[in-house]
Amino acid sequence: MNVMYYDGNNFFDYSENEDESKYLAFNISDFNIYNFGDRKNEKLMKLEEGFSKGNMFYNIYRPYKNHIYEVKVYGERDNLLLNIQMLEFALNDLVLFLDLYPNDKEVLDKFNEYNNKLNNNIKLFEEKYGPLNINGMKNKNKFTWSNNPWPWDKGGNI
Amino acid sequence: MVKYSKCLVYPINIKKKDIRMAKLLITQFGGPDGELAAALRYLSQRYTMPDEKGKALLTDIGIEELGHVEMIQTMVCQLLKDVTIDELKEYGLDTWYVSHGKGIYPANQDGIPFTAAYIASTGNPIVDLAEDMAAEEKARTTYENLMDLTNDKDILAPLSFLRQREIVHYNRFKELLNYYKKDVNN
Repeated sequence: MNVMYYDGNNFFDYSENEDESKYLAFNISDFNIYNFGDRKNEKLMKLEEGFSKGNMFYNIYRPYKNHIYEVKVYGERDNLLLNIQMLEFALNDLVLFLDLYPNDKEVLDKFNEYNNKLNNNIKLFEEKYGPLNINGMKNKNKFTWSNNPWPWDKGGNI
Repeated sequence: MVKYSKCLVYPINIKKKDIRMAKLLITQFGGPDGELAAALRYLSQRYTMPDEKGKALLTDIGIEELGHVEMIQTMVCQLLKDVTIDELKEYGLDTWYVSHGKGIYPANQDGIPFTAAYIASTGNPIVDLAEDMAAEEKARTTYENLMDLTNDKDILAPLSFLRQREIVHYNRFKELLNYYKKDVNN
């Protein structure tokens, strides 16, 4: 009779099994007060700035005390994944705006620009590092969807 | 339809074990001002929104909150990595361990389980949006309080991101409510 035991710490620690310098070395830098110049008369932040701040729109951005963080990643997989996360975030934030203001051309143009970039980045990532969605497996002869790492595993995501 | 992408909304890589913060953070999963409550609230209220703006906004924010649920669960998971029984006892998580082991379960920081009593869905869009604005503000201050209780940047960065999302949601709900109120007055 086979009995399965679940070890509570069933993390797949990606970094333990691979060359660490090739994969995730993750650093969040200290209190970087962004100085992107005087762009207060603009509506939308640039992609990296908006992602770091959690908000693409200047007019509703409210920091808490002096908490501003920047994400740094190392290695190709994590850079590609971070680009995808930034673009997905931007699309999501712009969509919330467009839901209420569907006729705003400026935001719609930005949305389309980011959408194109996102599709390209997803293709690049999936070709090298496996599927992000169940229909993203490139090799039809190998089922890789369930493979480690999963997003909550250390080294699996970012 | 809901689809899943195998990728977090925002990068989370917590390098230092912190059982105290794990115990506190779980409330943003299963507590009254947490992401699960938010997701269920908006995904329930969307059916009685009067027009496209409401149906789209409530859906999009509700789905985004599900992604935030995953972030909170990930943070708690990583904060408890390699925790020992003695450490659980020391931080008062032995009561949690009895029912949940070292696992994730929707509850608040005192272990009180999640309940749908945390949300309302009245079928009246004006009332629902007023509730949504209050919910987002409560979530915002909860994140601020959690941020006050740690110095670990690996924790502060995702919390800061999640807090800002609550501010954005609050503003969008407010704009939608004002739009509906103008309509009602006409």
